[in-house]
Amino acid sequence: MSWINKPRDPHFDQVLQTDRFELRPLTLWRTWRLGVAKWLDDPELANAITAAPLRGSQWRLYRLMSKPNGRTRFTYGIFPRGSDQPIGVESVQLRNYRTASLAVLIHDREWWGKGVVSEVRGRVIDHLFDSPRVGRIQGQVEGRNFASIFNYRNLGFAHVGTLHQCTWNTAEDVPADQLMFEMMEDDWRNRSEA
Amino acid sequence: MTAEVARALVAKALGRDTIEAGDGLATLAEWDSLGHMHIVLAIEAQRGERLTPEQIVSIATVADVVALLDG
Repeated sequence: MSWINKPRDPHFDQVLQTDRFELRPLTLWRTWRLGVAKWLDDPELANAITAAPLRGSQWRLYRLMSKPNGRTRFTYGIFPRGSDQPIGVESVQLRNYRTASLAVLIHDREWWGKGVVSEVRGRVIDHLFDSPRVGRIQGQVEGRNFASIFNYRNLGFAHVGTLHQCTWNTAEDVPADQLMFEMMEDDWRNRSEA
Repeated sequence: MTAEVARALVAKALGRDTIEAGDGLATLAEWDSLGHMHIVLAIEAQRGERLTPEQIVSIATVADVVALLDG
Protein backbone atom coordinates (compact mmCIF):
# COMPACT_ATOMS: atom_id res chain seq x y z
CA MET A 1 0.00 0.00 0.00
CA SER A 2 2.97 2.33 -0.50
CA TRP A 3 1.00 4.11 -3.22
CA ILE A 4 -1.61 5.40 -0.81
CA ASN A 5 0.58 8.27 0.41
CA LYS A 6 1.28 9.44 -3.12
CA PRO A 7 -0.84 12.19 -4.70
CA ARG A 8 -3.06 11.33 -7.66
CA ASP A 9 -1.41 12.03 -10.99
CA PRO A 10 -3.74 14.19 -13.13
CA HIS A 11 -1.82 13.23 -16.27
CA PHE A 12 -3.35 9.79 -16.06
CA ASP A 13 -6.85 11.05 -15.31
CA GLN A 14 -7.23 12.39 -18.85
CA VAL A 15 -9.60 10.88 -21.41
CA LEU A 16 -7.65 9.80 -24.50
CA GLN A 17 -9.02 9.81 -28.04
CA THR A 18 -8.19 7.61 -31.01
CA ASP A 19 -9.84 7.43 -34.42
CA ARG A 20 -12.41 4.87 -33.32
CA PHE A 21 -12.29 4.86 -29.52
CA GLU A 22 -12.43 6.92 -26.39
CA LEU A 23 -10.16 5.70 -23.60
CA ARG A 24 -11.70 6.65 -20.28
CA PRO A 25 -9.80 6.29 -17.01
CA LEU A 26 -11.75 3.98 -14.74
CA THR A 27 -11.87 3.89 -10.97
CA LEU A 28 -11.87 0.62 -9.09
CA TRP A 29 -15.57 1.12 -8.38
CA ARG A 30 -16.31 1.75 -12.05
CA THR A 31 -14.45 -1.35 -13.20
CA TRP A 32 -16.49 -3.35 -10.72
CA ARG A 33 -19.74 -1.79 -11.95
CA LEU A 34 -18.81 -2.57 -15.54
CA GLY A 35 -18.27 -6.21 -14.61
CA VAL A 36 -14.68 -6.36 -15.83
CA ALA A 37 -13.83 -9.14 -13.38
CA LYS A 38 -16.60 -11.29 -14.86
CA TRP A 39 -14.99 -11.05 -18.31
CA LEU A 40 -12.25 -13.19 -16.85
CA ASP A 41 -14.66 -16.07 -16.31
CA ASP A 42 -14.03 -16.73 -20.00
CA PRO A 43 -11.26 -19.35 -19.82
CA GLU A 44 -9.97 -18.48 -23.29
CA LEU A 45 -9.47 -14.87 -22.26
CA ALA A 46 -8.03 -15.73 -18.87
CA ASN A 47 -5.60 -18.22 -20.27
CA ALA A 48 -4.45 -15.75 -22.92
CA ILE A 49 -3.42 -13.29 -20.23
CA THR A 50 -1.62 -15.63 -17.93
CA ALA A 51 -0.86 -19.31 -18.07
CA ALA A 52 -0.71 -19.40 -14.29
CA PRO A 53 -2.93 -21.80 -12.36
CA LEU A 54 -6.58 -20.94 -12.72
CA ARG A 55 -7.43 -21.68 -9.09
CA GLY A 56 -8.63 -18.39 -7.65
CA SER A 57 -7.62 -16.84 -10.92
CA GLN A 58 -10.55 -14.50 -11.27
CA TRP A 59 -9.46 -12.45 -8.30
CA ARG A 60 -5.80 -12.87 -9.16
CA LEU A 61 -6.42 -11.59 -12.65
CA TYR A 62 -8.68 -8.86 -11.35
CA ARG A 63 -5.79 -7.59 -9.27
CA LEU A 64 -3.48 -7.92 -12.24
CA MET A 65 -5.68 -6.23 -14.79
CA SER A 66 -8.07 -3.91 -13.12
CA LYS A 67 -7.20 -2.49 -9.77
CA PRO A 68 -6.62 1.16 -10.59
CA ASN A 69 -5.51 3.32 -7.67
CA GLY A 70 -4.90 6.60 -9.52
CA ARG A 71 -1.28 6.67 -8.38
CA THR A 72 0.62 3.70 -9.79
CA ARG A 73 -2.09 1.63 -11.49
CA PHE A 74 -4.42 2.99 -14.14
CA THR A 75 -7.10 1.31 -16.21
CA TYR A 76 -8.55 2.78 -19.36
CA GLY A 77 -11.93 1.52 -20.54
CA ILE A 78 -11.99 1.15 -24.33
CA PHE A 79 -15.28 2.67 -25.52
CA PRO A 80 -16.19 2.77 -29.21
CA ARG A 81 -17.14 6.35 -30.03
CA GLY A 82 -20.77 6.95 -29.20
CA SER A 83 -21.04 3.92 -26.92
CA ASP A 84 -21.14 3.58 -23.15
CA GLN A 85 -20.25 -0.10 -23.22
CA PRO A 86 -16.53 -0.85 -23.11
CA ILE A 87 -15.20 -3.56 -25.39
CA GLY A 88 -12.12 -4.02 -23.24
CA VAL A 89 -9.61 -2.41 -20.92
CA GLU A 90 -5.98 -1.37 -21.18
CA SER A 91 -4.18 -1.38 -17.84
CA VAL A 92 -0.99 0.47 -17.00
CA GLN A 93 1.23 -0.06 -13.99
CA LEU A 94 4.00 2.39 -13.15
CA ARG A 95 7.02 0.61 -11.73
CA ASN A 96 10.40 1.70 -10.42
CA TYR A 97 13.07 3.34 -12.59
CA ARG A 98 10.65 5.11 -14.98
CA THR A 99 9.28 1.80 -16.20
CA ALA A 100 5.64 1.10 -17.02
CA SER A 101 4.04 -2.21 -17.89
CA LEU A 102 0.94 -2.83 -19.99
CA ALA A 103 -1.86 -5.36 -20.01
CA VAL A 104 -4.82 -5.41 -22.35
CA LEU A 105 -8.06 -7.35 -22.44
CA ILE A 106 -10.53 -7.21 -25.36
CA HIS A 107 -13.54 -9.16 -24.20
CA ASP A 108 -15.84 -8.37 -27.13
CA ARG A 109 -15.01 -10.97 -29.78
CA GLU A 110 -16.64 -8.85 -32.48
CA TRP A 111 -13.60 -6.60 -32.22
CA TRP A 112 -10.92 -9.27 -32.36
CA GLY A 113 -8.60 -9.02 -35.34
CA LYS A 114 -9.61 -5.43 -36.09
CA GLY A 115 -6.52 -3.61 -34.95
CA VAL A 116 -7.99 -2.42 -31.65
CA VAL A 117 -4.89 -3.16 -29.57
CA SER A 118 -2.50 -1.46 -31.98
CA GLU A 119 -4.68 1.66 -32.16
CA VAL A 120 -5.37 1.88 -28.44
CA ARG A 121 -1.93 0.91 -27.24
CA GLY A 122 -0.25 3.33 -29.63
CA ARG A 123 -2.22 6.19 -28.10
CA VAL A 124 -1.58 5.01 -24.53
CA ILE A 125 2.16 4.71 -25.21
CA ASP A 126 2.24 8.25 -26.63
CA HIS A 127 0.54 9.44 -23.45
CA LEU A 128 2.85 7.47 -21.17
CA PHE A 129 5.97 8.90 -22.77
CA ASP A 130 4.53 12.41 -22.39
CA SER A 131 4.89 11.88 -18.64
CA PRO A 132 8.30 12.37 -16.98
CA ARG A 133 7.50 9.28 -14.92
CA VAL A 134 7.93 6.93 -17.90
CA GLY A 135 11.00 6.31 -20.06
CA ARG A 136 10.62 2.61 -20.70
CA ILE A 137 7.65 0.30 -21.25
CA GLN A 138 7.77 -3.43 -20.78
CA GLY A 139 5.45 -6.28 -21.61
CA GLN A 140 5.41 -9.91 -20.58
CA VAL A 141 3.53 -12.41 -22.73
CA GLU A 142 2.78 -16.09 -22.47
CA GLY A 143 4.72 -17.91 -25.19
CA ARG A 144 1.63 -19.27 -26.97
CA ASN A 145 -0.31 -16.00 -26.92
CA PHE A 146 0.27 -15.37 -30.63
CA ALA A 147 -2.07 -12.38 -30.85
CA SER A 148 -0.33 -10.52 -28.06
CA ILE A 149 3.11 -11.36 -29.46
CA PHE A 150 1.95 -9.95 -32.80
CA ASN A 151 0.75 -6.77 -31.16
CA TYR A 152 4.05 -6.08 -29.43
CA ARG A 153 6.03 -6.83 -32.59
CA ASN A 154 3.68 -4.74 -34.73
CA LEU A 155 4.21 -1.75 -32.42
CA GLY A 156 7.97 -2.14 -32.67
CA PHE A 157 8.70 -3.56 -29.23
CA ALA A 158 12.00 -5.42 -28.98
CA HIS A 159 12.03 -9.00 -27.75
CA VAL A 160 14.64 -8.82 -25.00
CA GLY A 161 14.43 -12.24 -23.46
CA THR A 162 12.53 -15.42 -22.76
CA LEU A 163 11.78 -16.97 -19.40
CA HIS A 164 11.62 -20.67 -20.21
CA GLN A 165 9.11 -22.88 -18.40
CA CYS A 166 8.67 -20.25 -15.72
CA THR A 167 4.94 -20.80 -15.30
CA TRP A 168 2.24 -23.36 -15.93
CA ASN A 169 -0.35 -23.53 -18.66
CA THR A 170 -3.34 -25.10 -16.96
CA ALA A 171 -5.33 -25.37 -20.19
CA GLU A 172 -2.80 -27.83 -21.62
CA ASP A 173 -1.25 -28.87 -18.30
CA VAL A 174 2.28 -28.18 -19.48
CA PRO A 175 5.05 -25.75 -18.47
CA ALA A 176 4.84 -22.41 -20.26
CA ASP A 177 7.36 -19.79 -21.36
CA GLN A 178 7.09 -16.03 -20.97
CA LEU A 179 8.43 -13.59 -23.55
CA MET A 180 9.78 -10.21 -22.44
CA PHE A 181 9.32 -7.13 -24.65
CA GLU A 182 10.43 -3.55 -24.14
CA MET A 183 10.17 -0.15 -25.77
CA MET A 184 12.44 2.78 -24.89
CA GLU A 185 11.18 6.35 -25.18
CA ASP A 186 13.76 7.39 -27.79
CA ASP A 187 12.98 4.36 -29.94
CA TRP A 188 9.27 5.13 -29.81
CA ARG A 189 9.76 8.78 -30.76
CA ASN A 190 12.13 7.86 -33.59
CA ARG A 191 9.62 5.33 -34.84
CA SER A 192 6.79 7.87 -34.69
CA GLU A 193 8.81 10.41 -36.67
CA ALA A 194 9.88 7.89 -39.33
CA MET B 1 10.13 -24.82 -53.73
CA THR B 2 9.98 -23.89 -50.06
CA ALA B 3 9.31 -20.29 -51.01
CA GLU B 4 6.26 -21.33 -53.01
CA VAL B 5 4.99 -23.47 -50.15
CA ALA B 6 5.54 -20.58 -47.73
CA ARG B 7 3.73 -18.09 -49.94
CA ALA B 8 0.80 -20.50 -50.37
CA LEU B 9 0.70 -21.13 -46.62
CA VAL B 10 0.64 -17.43 -45.77
CA ALA B 11 -1.88 -16.64 -48.50
CA LYS B 12 -4.25 -19.34 -47.25
CA ALA B 13 -3.82 -18.27 -43.61
CA LEU B 14 -4.63 -14.65 -44.49
CA GLY B 15 -7.40 -15.46 -46.96
CA ARG B 16 -5.59 -13.87 -49.91
CA ASP B 17 -5.17 -15.10 -53.47
CA THR B 18 -1.52 -14.17 -53.80
CA ILE B 19 1.40 -13.16 -51.60
CA GLU B 20 4.67 -11.57 -52.64
CA ALA B 21 7.99 -12.75 -51.23
CA GLY B 22 8.66 -9.35 -49.67
CA ASP B 23 5.32 -9.06 -47.90
CA GLY B 24 5.02 -9.01 -44.14
CA LEU B 25 2.99 -7.75 -41.22
CA ALA B 26 4.01 -4.18 -42.04
CA THR B 27 2.69 -4.33 -45.62
CA LEU B 28 -0.41 -6.52 -45.49
CA ALA B 29 -3.62 -5.28 -43.86
CA GLU B 30 -4.80 -8.88 -43.52
CA TRP B 31 -1.73 -9.77 -41.46
CA ASP B 32 -3.36 -8.81 -38.16
CA SER B 33 -3.34 -10.60 -34.81
CA LEU B 34 -5.76 -13.31 -35.93
CA GLY B 35 -3.93 -13.71 -39.23
CA HIS B 36 -0.68 -14.05 -37.36
CA MET B 37 -2.17 -16.77 -35.20
CA HIS B 38 -3.32 -18.66 -38.31
CA ILE B 39 0.16 -18.36 -39.83
CA VAL B 40 1.91 -19.71 -36.73
CA LEU B 41 -0.49 -22.64 -36.48
CA ALA B 42 -0.11 -23.38 -40.21
CA ILE B 43 3.69 -23.41 -39.92
CA GLU B 44 3.48 -25.77 -36.96
CA ALA B 45 1.14 -28.07 -38.89
CA GLN B 46 3.48 -28.04 -41.88
CA ARG B 47 6.54 -28.80 -39.73
CA GLY B 48 4.72 -31.30 -37.55
CA GLU B 49 6.09 -29.75 -34.37
CA ARG B 50 5.65 -26.74 -32.15
CA LEU B 51 7.75 -23.66 -32.71
CA THR B 52 9.91 -22.33 -29.92
CA PRO B 53 9.06 -18.89 -28.48
CA GLU B 54 12.10 -17.42 -30.23
CA GLN B 55 10.93 -18.82 -33.58
CA ILE B 56 7.43 -17.44 -33.02
CA VAL B 57 8.79 -13.97 -32.25
CA SER B 58 10.94 -14.06 -35.39
CA ILE B 59 7.96 -14.26 -37.77
CA ALA B 60 7.33 -10.90 -39.41
CA THR B 61 7.65 -11.51 -43.17
CA VAL B 62 7.12 -14.23 -45.75
CA ALA B 63 10.91 -14.64 -45.82
CA ASP B 64 10.81 -15.54 -42.12
CA VAL B 65 8.22 -18.22 -42.89
CA VAL B 66 10.48 -19.61 -45.63
CA ALA B 67 13.37 -19.78 -43.17
CA LEU B 68 11.27 -21.68 -40.64
CA LEU B 69 9.99 -24.17 -43.22
CA ASP B 70 13.56 -24.70 -44.44
CA GLY B 71 14.77 -25.25 -40.89
